[in-house]
Amino acid sequence: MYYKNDIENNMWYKGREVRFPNGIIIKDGNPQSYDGWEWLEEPPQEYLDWLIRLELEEETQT
Amino acid sequence: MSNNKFGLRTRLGLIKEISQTTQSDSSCGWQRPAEWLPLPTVTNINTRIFYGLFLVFENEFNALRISVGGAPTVDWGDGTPPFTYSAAITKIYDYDSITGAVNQYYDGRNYKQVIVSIDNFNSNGFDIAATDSTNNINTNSSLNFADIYVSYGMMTSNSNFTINNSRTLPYLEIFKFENATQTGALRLNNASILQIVEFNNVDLVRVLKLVNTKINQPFDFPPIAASNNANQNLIIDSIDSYVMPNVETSDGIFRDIKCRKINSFTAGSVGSSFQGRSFVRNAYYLEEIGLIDAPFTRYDYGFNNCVSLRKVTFQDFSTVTNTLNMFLTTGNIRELILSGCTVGVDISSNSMTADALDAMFTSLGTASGAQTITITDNPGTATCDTTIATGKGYTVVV
Repeated sequence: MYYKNDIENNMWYKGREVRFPNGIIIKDGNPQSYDGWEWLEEPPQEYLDWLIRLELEEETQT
Repeated sequence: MSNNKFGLRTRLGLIKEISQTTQSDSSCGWQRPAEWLPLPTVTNINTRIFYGLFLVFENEFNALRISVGGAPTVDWGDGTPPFTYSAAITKIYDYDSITGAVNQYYDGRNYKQVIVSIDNFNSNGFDIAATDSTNNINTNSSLNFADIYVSYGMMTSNSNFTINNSRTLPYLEIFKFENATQTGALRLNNASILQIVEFNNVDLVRVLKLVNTKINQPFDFPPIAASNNANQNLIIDSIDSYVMPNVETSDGIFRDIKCRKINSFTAGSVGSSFQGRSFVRNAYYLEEIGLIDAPFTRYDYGFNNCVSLRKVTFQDFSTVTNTLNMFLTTGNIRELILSGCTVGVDISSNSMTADALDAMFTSLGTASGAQTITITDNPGTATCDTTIATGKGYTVVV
């Protein structure tokens, strides 16, 4: 799965296929990385930590 | 007047068949019980008066405490002389001394009735749900009003107008409020069997609290200024129009509402930092929002957990910069129009066909810098035309 961390907006994105405005398409790990997107077999720890933070934030809002 | 048979009605878990004469005052099938004393009406819009039909139950503690502004004339309606109000006061009704017919409530209890009036109150607060520890009137005590009619006399006030707060209104079936330029917070929480709600000639209610209230037929909401979690657990079939001319607070406007459809939501200038955050969050039964026209910059968690929601239309999404988890755990969205959108949105795991995704892409504006639209796991993901979005500068995750 491709992962991308948008640090400026505190966001993570993930997907198997990503299509870019310039016509480039990355899919299933080919290529391994492009424009901040990295193909990883396992989700990175920073992404998992971000999800946990979101869950905590969600709980405090509910 | 007509003779109607109510048939089976359920109240407090009990079922009782009631045959009685009723007067027609509603198109929804519900009829004001004929045995209820009629409330006076007001013809002069400058009249400031509260009328409440209060049920006094046999062998029960029937109490009312009021704390109101000014020096109004108060009539408890039980034959005791009206008096000029000067300070918060408690009335404990004596069932036996009240004249008039003995009636039977839906659950079989006997009750008599009185009409409480508070005439010529001013704008410095109004509370008919005050507590009184001396007489054990606390926040768990119920209020026995069945029908309330208020004319606010075209006053402008920021003071609260409290019908209840945390206390319950288990008998209230009619609430009518008229003739106001502006009220403060109007709290109508915890009313479980409301049949009719009416606002007539009301220019603005700063806050209308309907938390944990059930209203059995739609009504026209008055213009509202502040709406933080104001409709939590409100049970109502639909809302035709919800207008906030100048938004003061708006965090979770429709959070946790039990409503099938909201036809339109309109907001004017915005002074709230939370704006559309948690807008209809946890509105599990909401199927459709007709049109959203608000200059909000954020809708984070706005539609989170709206699992029945099929259609969302934004008149102008160009002001929005924060869409974090906006559509998290939705799943059923089939139409989404984001007119003028310039930021990324995650609409993954929903029910958008290729045509619907193409329509959504078409509604987008030009991306503001690097923006990502995520459309994974929709029926139309594989066949939609993502070039519509990439052509506007978006990165699309399919």
